[in-house]
Amino acid sequence: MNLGNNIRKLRFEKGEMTQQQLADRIGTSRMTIYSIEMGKFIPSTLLALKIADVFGKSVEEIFFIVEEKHDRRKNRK
Amino acid sequence: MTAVKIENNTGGRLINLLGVLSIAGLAYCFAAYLYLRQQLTPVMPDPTPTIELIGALALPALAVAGIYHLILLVRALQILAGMPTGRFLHSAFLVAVVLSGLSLATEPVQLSEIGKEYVLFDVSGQWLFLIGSTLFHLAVATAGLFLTRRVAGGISTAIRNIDSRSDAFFVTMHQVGFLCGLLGILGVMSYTHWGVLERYRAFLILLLSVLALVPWGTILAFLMVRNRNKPLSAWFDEKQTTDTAVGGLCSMMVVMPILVILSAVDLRIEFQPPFAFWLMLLFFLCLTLFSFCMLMRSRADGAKGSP
Repeated sequence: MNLGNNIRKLRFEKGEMTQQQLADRIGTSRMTIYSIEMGKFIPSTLLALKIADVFGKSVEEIFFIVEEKHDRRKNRK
Repeated sequence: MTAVKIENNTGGRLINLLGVLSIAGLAYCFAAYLYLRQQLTPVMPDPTPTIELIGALALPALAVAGIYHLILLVRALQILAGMPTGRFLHSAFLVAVVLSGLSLATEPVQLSEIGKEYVLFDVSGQWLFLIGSTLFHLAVATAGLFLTRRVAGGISTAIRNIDSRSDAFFVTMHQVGFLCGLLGILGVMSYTHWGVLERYRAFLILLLSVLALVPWGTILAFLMVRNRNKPLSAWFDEKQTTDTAVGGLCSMMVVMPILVILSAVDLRIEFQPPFAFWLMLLFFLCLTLFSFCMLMRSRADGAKGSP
């Protein structure tokens, strides 16, 4: 099981927000945002709440659990 | 606003002029050292007034180069404050400026020592060091002139603008650590080639190690001062903290077999290096491997940038 997310989609919906802009808003580094988006890093509850706050969504609307097979297929796309 | 801009432009021009003067001065020093090396021999116990003048003129040239090195250090920090991520060329420049500045500071003393000793002792090694380090200063000053010619702004703003949690600072810190580690390993490994007495070798290994660590130590000191009122967990962001832990684990797993190999080598080899040799070799090995692991993780995690 992995942690999937809609951050990239939400960033572009929110006026083409860059990773750096999102990172600045929640007080973290751009590489952290990149790693979360790519599913390489699982954020803490605090960081997940901060991200949700920026987009005005709940944590569940941004993060979701994905099965490994589904995840692999998604990465191939 | 316009006045500030004009002032900055004038300041930039003055700094570039200082850079050109510094390069000219260092070129003079290089030529002067080559000439003095040939002239100052035991057959001439008292230097002629011309030779004394040539030697004395090197001091203001070194002073100008020293001031320019300090400015280059500030400019390198200004570049760091504005970078989106760490660049290897910038980190190498930062290390070179610090090391070149440090060796520049010792040159007046070395010149004075040569003046006192050349009649009685062989000073060819000292001349070689002076000539080699002057070439190094020349390379640093020339690179600085090109790399920093468009930088503007004051020192206090530059230092204030450096975010110790940024990608640029984090990556630069590990690039500098990697370079210092490599320099330290090379320096320590070459100790058998130093033409010094056996009893001074341990001291020289430690001295060289401290010198190689100054650039990395400066960045660590900055990190500590900047975050002095924060708990350790707040020094980096949470991914950087996780990466540091993983990097530490990876480097420990690599260092342990190397330690076993080094111990086996120590038992088999005939010459017995001083204790400082193994201590500093292992230290620099750990630093290099740790920094390398961190850089590889940063690279994998998009250090080059993405929209």
